[in-house]
Amino acid sequence: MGKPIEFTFIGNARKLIKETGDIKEGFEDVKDSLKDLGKEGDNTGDDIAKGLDQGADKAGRSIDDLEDEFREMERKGKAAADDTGDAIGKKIKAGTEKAEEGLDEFKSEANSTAKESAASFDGSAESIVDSFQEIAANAFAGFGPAGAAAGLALALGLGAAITAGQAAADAINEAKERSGELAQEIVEAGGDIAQVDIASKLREWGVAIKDNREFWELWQDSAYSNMDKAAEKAEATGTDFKTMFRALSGYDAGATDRVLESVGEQIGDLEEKIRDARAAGNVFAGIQDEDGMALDSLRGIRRELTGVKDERGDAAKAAELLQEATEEETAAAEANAAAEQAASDATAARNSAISALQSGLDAAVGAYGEFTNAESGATDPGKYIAAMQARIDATSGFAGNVSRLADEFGLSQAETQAILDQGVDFGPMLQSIMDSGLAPEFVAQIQRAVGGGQELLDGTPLGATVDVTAEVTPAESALSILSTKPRDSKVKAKAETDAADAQLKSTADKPRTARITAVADTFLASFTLGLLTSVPRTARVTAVASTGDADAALDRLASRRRTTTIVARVVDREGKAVN
Amino acid sequence: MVIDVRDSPELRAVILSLKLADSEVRKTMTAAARSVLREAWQSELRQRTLTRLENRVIVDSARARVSSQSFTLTAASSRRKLSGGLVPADDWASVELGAKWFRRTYTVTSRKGNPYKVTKLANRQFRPRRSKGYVAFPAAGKTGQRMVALYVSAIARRLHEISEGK
Repeated sequence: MGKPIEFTFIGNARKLIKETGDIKEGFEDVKDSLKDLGKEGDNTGDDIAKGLDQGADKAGRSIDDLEDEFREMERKGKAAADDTGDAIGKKIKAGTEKAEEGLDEFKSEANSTAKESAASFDGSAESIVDSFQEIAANAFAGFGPAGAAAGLALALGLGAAITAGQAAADAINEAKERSGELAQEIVEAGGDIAQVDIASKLREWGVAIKDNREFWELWQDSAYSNMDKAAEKAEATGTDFKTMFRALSGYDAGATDRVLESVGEQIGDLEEKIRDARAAGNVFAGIQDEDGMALDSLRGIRRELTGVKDERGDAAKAAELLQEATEEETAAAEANAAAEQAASDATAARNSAISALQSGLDAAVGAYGEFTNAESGATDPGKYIAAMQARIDATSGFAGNVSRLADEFGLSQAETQAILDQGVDFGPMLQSIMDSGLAPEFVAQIQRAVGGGQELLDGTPLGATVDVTAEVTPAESALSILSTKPRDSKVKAKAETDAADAQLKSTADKPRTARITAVADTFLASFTLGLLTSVPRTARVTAVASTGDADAALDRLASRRRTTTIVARVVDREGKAVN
Repeated sequence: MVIDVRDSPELRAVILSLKLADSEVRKTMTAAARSVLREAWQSELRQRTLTRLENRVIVDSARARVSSQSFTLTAASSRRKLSGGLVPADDWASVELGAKWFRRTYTVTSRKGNPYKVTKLANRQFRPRRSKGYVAFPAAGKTGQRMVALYVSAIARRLHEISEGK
């Protein structure tokens, strides 16, 4: 076994993936190069561009468009983020409402697919900023199709933070990230912050490395953790370590407030002291001296604590938003599922109605045996075809009557189906019921019969023999009995030429042409249930059998009986062949 | 000679995007690259052929395989016999690389029974032997860079289509 010719031009992809720790970050670093590629193709007009048939050109342009769109989205997102949390909520809401207004367009398949794709990325791509996927996916809906596409792009790692929710979780901002985490936990704890496992959070935060010791930082002995920071600040402010630790961690709002207050007081005291010193003539008081440095340090701590406090507020707001968004998403998903269920029910009901009606017609088509004379074996195509026509008319009338009945009395699907299940043979009875004005009574009986089994059981004392004859077919019924279902049949005519043989024998010297003409219903060729209510069509089928050859053969072998098979070419009214 | 994907930002972007994408999306990305590459590769090969034999053996079964980490261009990959019984994947060598022509004289007997000699030029249907090849090898050598570029742009293009919601 030889090997085919094979060429591989690029390699080491596995190594690349192994060496790239964070795939998403790695991609972000180089993604612009794909854009440059398109541009190069444009400028130099080299083989690449030619080979792509302006594909590169298009790609380059679409990237530019994309960038513009991202920028726009980012702008919108930032504008929203600059407002208060309430305003963000309003904007998400307003956006969603706006999207609902353009529902027709919004419903278009392309968009919903894009949206679905965007949503389906939530689980798989770790790249999306953790706890805000759902807010993001939801907020995209507010921006319409472009937003949904942007969501997908984001899921692929192409985009920057786009929406309000996304902005709140801006990964670059560590504080925000932390507030996002906290928000997630608050939501998971059912909105009750008391249930969040603060103890383990505190432990985690305490040992988190705040500042790595770098090789040039000779003055720093080792890595600097949050715990070290808290110890230092506690000493500077005269607060006890535990309180300062909790205050800085942001998990204890009370501690933050207390320390902020005490620090505020200390700052006030120091400022007063410095003012007094200056008033006393020491113009350099508070500048590079002990008090001044202490004041700076305290102000720094106050800034930090204020930041922690804000962050805490952000977390609460974000939690609220997250909760809201999740609820909306769930409601939308439920509505979707219900709509899908309804659609599939309708389809099942329609199919059920069609098959009920069609089985009668199929029986008529298959009943050709009844039109063969048992003794002579002679067939009667005329009667057969006429019988089929009669059947179609009956079915049409029956279907029409059933749907009229259903409309008039508002029959349920199960009830309509129960009548349809009786089949076409029930047609004449139904017709006479309707003609005689007994329809209301009939409908009442049907309704009692269909839903009646359980009722009768309920009303029967225990121990009694229950004798129920009820039609409780649980089948779904017709929403629409009209459907277009083209069907094809094969028409193959076979003519017995025994009789012709005999005649030919007597006039064997005369060459002759026999003409056989038959009329067949076109429903065999193309039949739709939708045509049931309209006039059935007919087409002329002409079969020409040349018996010249048969003559000659008969001359030679006059004693042998023979059968000639004539295959008819059947054409419809337009002259198209039917097979 | 293989290009290390780590040396090119474009290739890095392509490989990482394939790694990053959801599997359904990745399928459409590799499919896009495959169709572009196959078309280009076959047309490159066809420009270099002279005979029907070369087309049948080398070009007709030329394909592009695209994985999420690399792509491979193949030629003469069919394992099905041609009408004369030649299996392209096994016996492409003479077609691609040529074969040494030689004269061979042998004795045959005529219908009347007289022996006579026939001299034929064997391997006349192949081009003269050349180890650098005639069709697939030069095509790969000359257009390798372009193929890599096509691969990158096909993926990039698909990526933008995806981002536009297509």
